[in-house]
Order: sequence, then structure tokens, then C-alpha cells
Amino acid sequence: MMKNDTWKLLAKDFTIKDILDSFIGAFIFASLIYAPIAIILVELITVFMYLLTLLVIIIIISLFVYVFCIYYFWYKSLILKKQNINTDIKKLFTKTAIITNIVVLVLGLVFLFVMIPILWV
Amino acid sequence: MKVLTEYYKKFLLVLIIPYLFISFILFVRIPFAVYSPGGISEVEDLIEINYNQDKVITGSISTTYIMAVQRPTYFQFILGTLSPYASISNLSTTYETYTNQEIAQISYLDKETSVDASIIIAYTYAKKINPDIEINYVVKSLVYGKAEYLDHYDEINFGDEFIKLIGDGGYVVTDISEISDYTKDSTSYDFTFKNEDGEIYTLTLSTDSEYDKFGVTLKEYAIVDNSTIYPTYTERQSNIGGPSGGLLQTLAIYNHLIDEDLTHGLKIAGTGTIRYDGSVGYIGGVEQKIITAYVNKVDLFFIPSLDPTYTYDNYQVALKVCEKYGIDSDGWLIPVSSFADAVAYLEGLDES
Repeated sequence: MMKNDTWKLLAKDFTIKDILDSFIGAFIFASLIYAPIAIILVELITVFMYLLTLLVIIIIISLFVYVFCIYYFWYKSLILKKQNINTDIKKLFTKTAIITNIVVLVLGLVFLFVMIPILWV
Repeated sequence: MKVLTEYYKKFLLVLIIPYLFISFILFVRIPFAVYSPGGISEVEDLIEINYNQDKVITGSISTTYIMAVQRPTYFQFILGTLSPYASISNLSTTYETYTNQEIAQISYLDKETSVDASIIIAYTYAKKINPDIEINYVVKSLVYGKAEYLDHYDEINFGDEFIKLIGDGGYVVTDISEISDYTKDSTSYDFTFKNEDGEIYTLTLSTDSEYDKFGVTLKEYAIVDNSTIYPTYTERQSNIGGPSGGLLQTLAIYNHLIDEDLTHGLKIAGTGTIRYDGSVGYIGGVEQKIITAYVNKVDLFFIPSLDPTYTYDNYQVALKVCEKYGIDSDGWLIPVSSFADAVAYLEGLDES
């Protein structure tokens, strides 16, 4: 059977409680991995301030990975709960992760080129 | 959550030890200071003078800041040792008893008072050319230091203004130079302060039995009288602390008040505190500031030069730094001992 990749279908395959529980678990797991990386990058900035632009770009890239981690763990958690489903979760989450990362990229560039020059006086 | 924990149980257990290790090096702080290059910050972004708005300034005047990490974490310390431009030293004895937050408060107090000093000097010099300019100031004694043994330590904040104390024989002391003369008969006296919100409070402070001091350091500052100043100015909140931008702040403000453009289209930066008599004072972190200016491609860099025979004279140190990194200091590194020196140099550029 051909699988679809819609949120509506996902909501039929799982209960809202299951989806939310999986998301919270995924968020906590991804954050546990990302927290030390974020702190390392911030501490890098305090010593290598003259490489600020480069380091902010690295932070933006690391946020892409963080977003993908959240979606990966979310996917994993849902699959572990129930395997016979009609939704193509992988495709659905990949699409959503890409959209989320485009938003992250835009916000990151705004922060880099607009907010930092305004705030850092 | 539960299914993920079950699935990654072994993985999580294996990760606990490296996680604890990483947490240790990222959070535990050690009593050192790491200084590394920072950036340059245009004075116009910090202080806006409401005057000569149509004047075209072709170049820019910027202060130079460095990153000073007091009590770095182990990770920051390691990074400091790896960076070719960073220097590491023991935590200054002055700062040993302060928290990082208190050190930041002192640093911001230095910045705020340096802006006042810059306004006073720049306006006073500009007034010689333009009599419309009006500048008045009041001298205030502000809390600049607190010893561990100070009574009511948490109630007195850095920057609070000393108003008076009731000294021996009921004499009201308002001048800090008189405090020691009128606090001999007793060990406790009533001090009155004003905090940044304008609230006046009185506290009884006692001298410490070991040091025979109250434990509060007061320093006199000239503060701009905003009610009479012309033209008015707007000062933005700064993220950068310290007094070392004084000279460049003064230059930028002065440049805004006069008709000619001292920048001549150049990207000007530098460092040096400004004193109330217009002379320039030494700063720290010369090496990091020179590198910062160089990577930011500034056209000329002002640096304090007060005594060429003194080993740690900023200019002499800067020359060595330029030599070390292969920077051509000729015509780029400009030694100055006063604000007038810097103005004279920039005016001289016009003639040459």
C-alpha cells in the first residue's frame, strides 16, 4: 500500500497523547546531546570573538543538526510505539525538518547581520 | 519518552561518564583571567549628539574592546592556551573577592563614567571654537569598591552615590577626603547613600578590627549636568565595559561638535582612558587590542605614550607586538599623551 505523508494521517495512526509524548521525549533527548555543544560554541565565542561571524555560522549549522535530531528521535519514538501505520513518517518529518531549518537559517542570518550590530554597542 | 529511554538505555549509561566530564570542564571555574582579541565599536552607535545632524562624516571613529574572561571554565582556559593571540594571567588581586557579576558591574561603572568624562572634555574643547556649546558638571563620590568585611555588603551597590556621614561631634562630612579626619572617636558611623533609582538610604558602618577601615572604596567622578548641557546627547546602553574607550569617545564627540571632519575618510580606532585634564591614561591588553584593530583593517590606531623609558608604556609594548606579528607600525600606530595630541595629529593630516 502506498503511504501518505500528512499530519492528518499521522493523527489517525497515533493518539495526540502519543505524538506529544514522543515529541517531548525527542526534544529532551536531542537537547541532552545539543546542550554541551551549544555551551562549547558559546565558550568558543568568548575566546575567539574576532571569529564571531564564522562561529555564528557554525552555531546556525549546529542548530540544523539539532532540529534534525529532534525529528529523528521523534520518528524513532513513534516507530517504536507502533509499526503498522499508514503514514510515511520519515518523509513527513524530513519535509517538516527542512522547513524548520529554513526558518532557523532566516532567523540566524537576521541575528547575524541585523541584531548583532544593533545589540553589540 | 519511556520507549526512547528503554531503547537507548545502554547508550545513555555509556554516555554518563563523558557527559559528567564535559560538564566539569564547561562549568567549573578557575581563578585565572583569559584575555583575547575582541572587536571595534563605532562611537556613534553608543553616543548620539543632537547637533550638526547634516554634517557628513566620511570616516569612522571606533573604540577597541577585547574579551576578558574572569574566572574562566577549564574549557575556556584550554582554549586560551591554544589561541595564538590570547594571554592568560592570574586573577587580579583586586578582583579576587568579587563575583563575576560584581566585576561586570565595576566594568560598566567605568564605562559610564568614561562617557561622562569624554563628554566633558570634548564639549570643553569645542566650546573654545563654538561659544554656543554649554557644559556643566557636578562632582560625585561613587562606591567603587567593597571589601569582604564591609557591613551591609549586599545593600550597598557599586555606583551608589555617597551623600554624607555623621562624623565626630556631629560634623556632617560630605567630602570624602574628610572622612578619615572625622571618624576617629568611634568605630561605627551613619553613612548616607543614594542608589541608582534615586532612593536615599542610611546605614551604620563599622570599622573592621583587623584593617581599621569601613571597607567601602569611594571615588570622585565628574558627572555631566544634563539639565544645562547644549547640545544634548543620547547615550545608549553598552554591552562593552571598561574605561579604555575614553580617548576615542572624546574624539568622536568632538568631531561631531565642530564643522570640519577630522576623520578624512579614515577608519580610525585606538585605545586609552581619558582624564579630566584631557590627558590620556594607560590601558591593559595592548597585544589583543593591536590584533583586534589589525584584523578589523583600521587605517590608524591611537595608543597612549606617556613615558618612553617605562618598560610597560603602552606604545613601547605596542611596537613590540607589531614587530612580533609583522605589522607595519609606521604611520599606523600613533602615540599620543593627550586628547589635544590626537586632535593635532588628525588636523595635521589635512595639511599633509
